[in-house]
Amino acid sequence: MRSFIATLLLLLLTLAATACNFSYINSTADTLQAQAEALPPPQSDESVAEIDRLEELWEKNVPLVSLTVDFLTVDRVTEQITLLKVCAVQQDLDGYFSALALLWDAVEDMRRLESFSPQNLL
Amino acid sequence: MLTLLIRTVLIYIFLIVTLRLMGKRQIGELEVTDLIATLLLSEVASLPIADPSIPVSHALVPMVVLLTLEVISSLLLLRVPRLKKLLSATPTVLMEGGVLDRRALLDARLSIEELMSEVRQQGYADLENVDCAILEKNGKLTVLPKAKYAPPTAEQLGLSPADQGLMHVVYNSHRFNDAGLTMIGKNRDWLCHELSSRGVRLRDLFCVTANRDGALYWIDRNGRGASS
Repeated sequence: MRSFIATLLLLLLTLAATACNFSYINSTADTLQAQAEALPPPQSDESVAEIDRLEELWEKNVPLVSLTVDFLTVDRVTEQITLLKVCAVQQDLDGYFSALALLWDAVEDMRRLESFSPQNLL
Repeated sequence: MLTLLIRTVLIYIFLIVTLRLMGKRQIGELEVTDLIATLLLSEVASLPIADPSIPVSHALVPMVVLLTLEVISSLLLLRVPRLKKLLSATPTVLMEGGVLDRRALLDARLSIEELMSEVRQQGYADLENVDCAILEKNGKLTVLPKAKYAPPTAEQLGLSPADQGLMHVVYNSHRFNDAGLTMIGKNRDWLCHELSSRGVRLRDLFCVTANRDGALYWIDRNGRGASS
């Protein structure tokens, strides 16, 4: 019976951690997407500074996100933010919007493991 | 993590159904639920080891879920007989009173050659010698011979031999085995005294076994055995 109680406690802890992680990953993804959506056009003077803020926000969250999201996805988000910054500095409009779209995809992939859908489950 | 958690439950249930459908011959000595948990745990545990890009949590969460499912299912199997019937195999009587149940044999997916082979392994030449054959839940065949083919017991022969008791290794490779001596309630002095009274030198022996009644059996350095 003692092992049963210990197992149940372990399960409850795991469920609690899963719930917290669900909320954390989704809120991080929401914030990243909202901030990416609100980025000023690359021609604007504030563009690079805003991307820096986005990068800062992401880097602050990486240690916790990496605990449950695979490193490939984490690296994709990091790469796209870097690419976004490079394109903004170089005023490469095509590259900038392409990087923005890929960043969006990478964030969606990060969120995917924490969402209910038949495609995910099966 | 959420997806992993649900996936683990789905795969666990799917594997239970699959292994139950496979029948008891594939299962061996384990319950279906134990086997599945063992299979999955070993696979899941190796994931983050084999692929460093996978976080450890991807193995930990399924492992906790598997552990919980295993503990809960073993408790349920103990308390709910109906579920036990559903999830655990039950012994199948293949032969009773010397009559072969062909339907049971078919259900167990055993051919007559396989049955014969099992019967031979139990030391009986033919099915004619067999009174009952039962395929146990662990997949092993129990064979009960007809009375006229069963070896006679000491009681049937009117003999009353003394029980030998469990023999323990008390000396092995020039070393006393104190644990073995303790189990038979003796000590090193007793062993040395008993051997010297029989004219046997300890240094000439490879190993010695003994029981509570003081019976001794020894094998010398040349591999020859002797007892007292």
